[in-house]
Amino acid sequence: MALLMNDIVLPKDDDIPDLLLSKHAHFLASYGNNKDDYEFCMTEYLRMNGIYWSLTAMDLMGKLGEMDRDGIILFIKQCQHENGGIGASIDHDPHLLYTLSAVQILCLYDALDAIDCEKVTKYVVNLQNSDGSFCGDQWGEVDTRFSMCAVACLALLGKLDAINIDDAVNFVISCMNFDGGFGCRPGSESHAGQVYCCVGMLSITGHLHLIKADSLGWWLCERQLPSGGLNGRPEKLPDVCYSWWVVASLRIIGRLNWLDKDQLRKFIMACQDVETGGFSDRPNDMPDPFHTLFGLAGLSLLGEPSLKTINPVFCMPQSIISHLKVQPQTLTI
Amino acid sequence: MHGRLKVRTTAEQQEIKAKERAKKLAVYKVAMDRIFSKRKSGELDDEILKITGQVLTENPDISTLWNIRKETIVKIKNTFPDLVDNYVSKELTLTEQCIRVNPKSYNSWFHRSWVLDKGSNIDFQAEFLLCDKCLELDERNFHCWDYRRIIVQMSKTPLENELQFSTNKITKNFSNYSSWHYRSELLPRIYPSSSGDTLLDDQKLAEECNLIQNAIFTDPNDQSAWFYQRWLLFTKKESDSKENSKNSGFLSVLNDELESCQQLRDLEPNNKWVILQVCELLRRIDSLGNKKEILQLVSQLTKVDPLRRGYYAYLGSKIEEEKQKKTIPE
Repeated sequence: MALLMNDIVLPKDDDIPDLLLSKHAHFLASYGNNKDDYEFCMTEYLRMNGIYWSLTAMDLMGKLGEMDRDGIILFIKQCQHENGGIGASIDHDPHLLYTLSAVQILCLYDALDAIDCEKVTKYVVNLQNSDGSFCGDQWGEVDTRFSMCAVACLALLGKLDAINIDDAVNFVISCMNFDGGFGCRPGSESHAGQVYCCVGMLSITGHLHLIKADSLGWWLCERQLPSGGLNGRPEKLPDVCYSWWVVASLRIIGRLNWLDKDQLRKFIMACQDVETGGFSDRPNDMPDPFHTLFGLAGLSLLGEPSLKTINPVFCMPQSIISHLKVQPQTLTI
Repeated sequence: MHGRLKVRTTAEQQEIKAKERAKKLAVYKVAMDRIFSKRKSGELDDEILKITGQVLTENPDISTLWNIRKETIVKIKNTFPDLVDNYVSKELTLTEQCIRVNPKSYNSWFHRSWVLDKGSNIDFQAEFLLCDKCLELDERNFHCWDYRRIIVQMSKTPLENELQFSTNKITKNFSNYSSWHYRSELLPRIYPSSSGDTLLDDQKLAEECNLIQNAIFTDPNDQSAWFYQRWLLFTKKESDSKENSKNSGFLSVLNDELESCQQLRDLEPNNKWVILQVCELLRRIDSLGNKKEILQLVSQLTKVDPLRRGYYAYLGSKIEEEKQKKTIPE
């Protein structure tokens, strides 16, 4: 059954392009130039995430200046609600997912004073439940992604002590599974995206010693497939975004060299769209800003010299995190 | 955008598609404007349910529209409590439609579990049927597995039934990691061990070992059962993790497992999973005594699975370091 393994075949080495930085910058800078573009309009519900993906990718390439700083800051202001939370777009409801993206964007621009940060802190604090978990918004969905959003947001605002950290940590640990990985809620299956959120959350709060780092590291490095790409769960197809979720997690727990970096680099490079710029999930699929950020971020973690160094916990340039004096924990072997 | 192949199209096809999209977009914009203006004037009524429903069926990820529906349901529950069951059943129909459009839509699944709480006579049988159908289409859909766990709790379904469900799924396809995961959650709760060496009582442990044997002999390259086996054999109960006790019964379990892994290795000499498991078993049985053999196996692993040579190097260095300890804490 090995023949049925979910994987792809990479093009020959000579057919894998070099890193097409100026094409990627053009792809991101022109994304949304046409406000009547169908894809653009249909993704309005996650606009704030989209702006964060594009800006972070541009910043990694040293091209943040090409984006509309004033327009974006004004937009974020308009998306903050009375309760302090921030929505994906104007008229859209506030949620932790978009609140974190907005705070991250404002950190990139060193413009946190554009919004009412005290209200943001209050919003986040009010979403913590008695078991330590976080709801994503007032409607009560609980997920370890929201635990990460909450602590990342507060750490960037310098307000981490505003929540009950011990309870928050205990909840995340209660989501640890038989394989050392983490899922959405207690009892949920491990998924590399959730692993990143939980490992990141424990890093920000300084509780990485609670992780079973060897078991988790083994599960994570087993995400690498013969093509060099990484999947998010056993028996799944590889996808460029896991070059971030898996590799960042391994980096945080000090086990990045447990996978083959050269082979992974080839896979990421093969996911570039040589015509339009941008990265797709797998070679020859449609590119988008989400995979473009995580392709570039993955390359940065692998040490790509033409990109800024990325912080593995916050997925933002290390220079920004250092400037904010935020110091997430990492492990070494 | 996941898994969307870039296809070459002719100029003519592109124009047709552009026209279709422009039309769809116009409908979408009118609908969104209408929804937001009704919401601003507090008109949470049947019309807003109708329009949000139309948009969500096309794009179930617009969470704000689900929120508007929730506000409307809450309002109905407060003003006309007798009518609420009727509305709940409409939400169940809509979320089912949306799950068909996108089975991985967080919002649709969450809305469904949210609304279950609002009705007075939920037909849980129907909810289980929906999960069955959905897992038939994709047995790894974690949204559906999570939803199943929610309805198990709400309906107070015995965990034994769920274990049987997991067994059925696994015997149908051993490569169902989601179902192995589910067992790891259920078994220690239903059949806890009385000793510190293992997680499960002796009889259940033997049954599970047997099930794993079937899985790994059927497909030695399928990682699901290997991950599960490592957990089952090498995890101690937390309260006893500091003890170094190793009763003879458990040692014989490890030796039995080693024997069958060695048999499999004769058939599949280059299978990395079986080599690694032999390593780990030898370590647990007698780390010092087996050191030479273990290190040879580790070096073989580096050759058959070079992608993970960094991990195997770490493993080798750990084994080199092991001196007086006979058992290895995980």
